[in-house]
Amino acid sequence: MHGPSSSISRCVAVAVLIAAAACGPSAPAKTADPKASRVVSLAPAFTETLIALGAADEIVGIGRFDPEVPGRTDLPRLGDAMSVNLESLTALAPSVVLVNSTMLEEKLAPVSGRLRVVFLPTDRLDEALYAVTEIARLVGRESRGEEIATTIRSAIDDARGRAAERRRRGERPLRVLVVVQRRPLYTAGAGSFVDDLLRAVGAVNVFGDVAKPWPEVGEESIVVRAPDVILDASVGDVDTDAGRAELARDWQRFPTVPAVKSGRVLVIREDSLFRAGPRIPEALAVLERLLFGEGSAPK
Amino acid sequence: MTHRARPVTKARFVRVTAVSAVVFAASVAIALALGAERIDLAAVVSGGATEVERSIFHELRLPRVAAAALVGGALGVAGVAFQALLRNPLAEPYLLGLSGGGSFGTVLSIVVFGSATAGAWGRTAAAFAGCLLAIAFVYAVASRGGGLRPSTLLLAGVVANAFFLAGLAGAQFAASPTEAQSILRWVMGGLSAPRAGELWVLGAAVTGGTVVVMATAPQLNLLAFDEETARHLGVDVTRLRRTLFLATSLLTAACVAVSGPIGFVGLFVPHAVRMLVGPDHRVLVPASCLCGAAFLVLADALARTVFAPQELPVGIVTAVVGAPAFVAILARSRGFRETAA
Amino acid sequence: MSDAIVLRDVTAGYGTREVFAGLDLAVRAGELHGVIGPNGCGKTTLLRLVSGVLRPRAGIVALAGENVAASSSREIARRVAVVPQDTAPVFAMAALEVVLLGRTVRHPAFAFETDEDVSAARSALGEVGASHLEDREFTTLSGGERQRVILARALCQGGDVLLCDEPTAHLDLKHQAATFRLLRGLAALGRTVLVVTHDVQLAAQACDRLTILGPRGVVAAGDPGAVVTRENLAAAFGIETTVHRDAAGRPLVLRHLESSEGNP
Repeated sequence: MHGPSSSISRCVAVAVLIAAAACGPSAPAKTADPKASRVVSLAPAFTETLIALGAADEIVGIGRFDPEVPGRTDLPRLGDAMSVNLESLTALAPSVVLVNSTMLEEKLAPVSGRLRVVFLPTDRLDEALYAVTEIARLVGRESRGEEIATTIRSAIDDARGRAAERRRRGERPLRVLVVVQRRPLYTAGAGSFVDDLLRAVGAVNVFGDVAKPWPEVGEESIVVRAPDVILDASVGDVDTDAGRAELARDWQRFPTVPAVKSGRVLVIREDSLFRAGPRIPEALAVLERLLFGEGSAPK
Repeated sequence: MTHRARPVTKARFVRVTAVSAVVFAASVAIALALGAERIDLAAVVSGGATEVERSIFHELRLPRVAAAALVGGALGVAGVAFQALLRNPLAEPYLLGLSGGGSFGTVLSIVVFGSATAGAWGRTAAAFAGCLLAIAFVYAVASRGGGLRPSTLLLAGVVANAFFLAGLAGAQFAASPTEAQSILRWVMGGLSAPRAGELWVLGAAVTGGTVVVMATAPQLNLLAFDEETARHLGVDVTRLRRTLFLATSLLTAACVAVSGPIGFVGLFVPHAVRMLVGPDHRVLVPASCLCGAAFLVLADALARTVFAPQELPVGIVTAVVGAPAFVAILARSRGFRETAA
Repeated sequence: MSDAIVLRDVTAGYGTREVFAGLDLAVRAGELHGVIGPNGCGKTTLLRLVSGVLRPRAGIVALAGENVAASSSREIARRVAVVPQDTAPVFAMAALEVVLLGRTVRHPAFAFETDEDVSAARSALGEVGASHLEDREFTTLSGGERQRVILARALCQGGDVLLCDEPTAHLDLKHQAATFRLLRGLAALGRTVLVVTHDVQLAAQACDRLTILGPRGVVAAGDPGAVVTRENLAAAFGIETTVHRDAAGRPLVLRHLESSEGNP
C-alpha cells in the first residue's frame, strides 16, 4: 500500500513540479489533417509555442499552470500534467489537443477516438524543437514555426560555440548541480531537458550519469560530486526571511562543496529552464549569465 | 502451549535492554559505515580523514542516522503504546490514520504560514494537533457502544486514513506549485539529513513521549490484559488513556514533522520484539524503542546505498522488509488473537 | 462479628439506566457470602460498587467501616481483589505472568518484580492447586484452569476481601465443586469472600450466608436454610420451585419446568 502508491505520487508530484514530465517513448503525432482551428494546449511550453506562432486566437483551452494568453484571460483551464476535465474538454470541441505527458495522454484515452490528441514529448532539446515545428504544422503556420526553430537552433549553436571557445581558452568545465527539490532531494539526470541545456552551454551536470530524468539522489553524493555552482530551483518559501534563512542553513551542511564555499548557490526563479518551447534561447542566456557571469552571453 | 513464564526482574530488564542496545549500536555502526559515498570511517574517527570525508560524516551521515534512530525509536514506542491503548495488535499509527492526521496538520501549517515560517516547532505542534484529532476520532468511533471492537477499530482507522489522505490531496490541489513542492515530504514520507533545529525538537519530543510511555508500562500491562482488570487493579483508566493519547500523538507527530508518514515500523517492530521478549511492557517499551531505531537506521542505510547515488524512499524499504517478516511472525504466532473485546 | 462490606441505601446505574435503588447489604468478615439473583438484577454492578470501579449515585459503600468513595483506586485494590467472569489478555502471556499482575498493586507505580513477588505468585498458584500451569500460555487453558489462575492473581493482591463474579459459569460439576471448596477454604483462612452467582443450589450449599436479589432489590438475606424458600425464589426469579431440606437442613431446590414459562 505504501510502496507503489507513494512512488506513483512521487512521479505525479514531480510531474506537477516541472509541469512536463513525459517518461515514455516518443510517439509520432497523428498525421496530416486539415489545419487545426480550435486548439487545447495542456502544457505550458505548448501554450508559449502557440502564442509565439501568433496562434493565440486559435487556443480554446489551456492547462492549470500555463502562462496567461495575451488578451484571452477568460480561457478555461482544464487540468494539469496529471489530470484533465474530460467533459469540459469535450464541450469545447477542440480540433486538436496537445499534451506532453504520457500520464495525461492516458487520461485522454476515453476521448481520443473522437478528439485528435497529439502527444509530443519535450524531455530533450531536439524533442522540443520537433514539437515547435509540429505544432506550427498543426495550426498551419509552418513558416513562422521554421523561424522560431531556426532561432532556437542558432541560439543552441551559439551557446555551443561559446562553450567550445571557453574550452579552447583552457577553462575547466563548470560542474553544476540543479536542485529541483530539496527535501526529498530531486535533481536533473541524464535525458532531462535541463541536462541538455547544461551540455549546450558546456557545463557538466554532476548527476548527468544517472539514467533517469528526475532522480531522487542522496545528499552525500553532492559532497563527493563537488559542484562548482548549485542552481536551486526548489521553490519553497524563499520570499520570507525565515525561508531564506532555512535555505542558507540547508546548504551550510555542505561546507566543503565549492559552490557553497564560494557562495555560488543560486536560487533560480526563471521558469524558462523548465520550458521546452520558444524560450529555449532565453533559458540558455539565463544559464550562461548565472554560470559565466554578465556579458558572456549576448542579449 | 508452554511459554516459559518470564517475570520482569530488574536483572532481566537490564539484560533485555542491554542486548537491544547492542543491536542498536551495531546498526548505527553499520549505517555509519554505509553510504552513497565511500568514506574512510577509521580516518574520520582518528582525525586523519579528508575534509570531504569529514563533511560527509559530520554534516550529513551522522545527523541522518540520528534522525532515523529517533524516528524509528519513536515509531516503535508509539506502536507499542497504541496497541496497548486500543488492545489490538494490528493497531499502528500509520495504519490507523494517526500519521495521516499528523501529515495533514503539518501541511496545513505549511500552506497557512509557509514551511520555514512554521519552523520545526510549528510543524511539530501542527502535526501534534492533527494526530490528536485522528486518535480521538478513531477511539471515539471504535469504542462506541462499549468495548473496543477490532473490526470497528480498523474501519475507523480506514476512514480516518481516507479522510486525511483526501485532505492532503485537497491541500496539494489548493496549493500553488510553490507550496505543493514543500508539501511533498508529508505526502510521501522519507528521511534526509535534518537541520540542527529539527534534531533538537525531534529528540526532545521523542524522549518525552518515550519516558511517559515507559513510566506507565505496568499500567499498560493491565490495560492490555483487560480494561476491567486494569480498573480492579487500581488503574485510573480514563487518565491512563488520556496520557497515552498525548504520548502516542506526541511521538507520532515528532516523527511526521520531520519525515512524513513512514509505515510498518510501528507494526512490525513491536510484534517482532514481543515474540522475543514477551508481552510485558517494562521490557517491551525499551526494547521496541531500541529495535525500532535499529530497524529504521538499517532500512535507511539500504535506502541510501542500494541504488546510489539515487535514493529509495525509506517507506518502500520498511514495507518490503516489514511485510513478509510480519506475515511470517503472524503465521507462527498462535498467541495472536483478533478479538480484543 | 464485624461487617467487612456494607452497602447502605445505595442507588447505582449506568447512563440513563438505573440498576437498583435503595439497596442494603452486609457481608461479615471472614464469611463466604453468596448473592443470588436472576440475570440483570445487578449482581455484577454490586461487585463494581464494592471494588470502587463504579461510584454509587446515592448511599454509601463501606469496607470495614471506611467509605470506599474516600479511597483511591489503588488503595482499594490493595484490600479488594476481583475475579471477573470472563477475562483474557490480548497478547500471549504465561499463567505465572498473569498472576504476577496482581502484585502490581503492592508496588509503587513503576517497579520491577522481586524474587519475593515471584515466590508470592508461585505460592498463590499453589494455593489454588495450579502450580503445574505456571508456564502455560493463558489463552490455551481450559475454563476451570483460567478460573484458578485468575483466582491466584486475586490472592496475589494480598487483600482481605475477595469478590467473585459467577465463578462457576463455564465449569462442569466437578470444577464447580472444586471452585467452591477453594472459596470455602479461603474464607476459613480469614478472607471475606463475596460470590455472585445465579446457581441457587450451589450457593445455598456452600455459602455461610446468602442475599437473594430480585428485580426490585433485596428479597431476603441471612442463613441459606432460612432465606431459600419457595416464596423468596418466586419473588426473585419469578419461577415455581419446591424446596426440600437435606439431613443437615440445607435447602434442595427443585425447579418446576412447566410453570416456569409464562410466569413472570
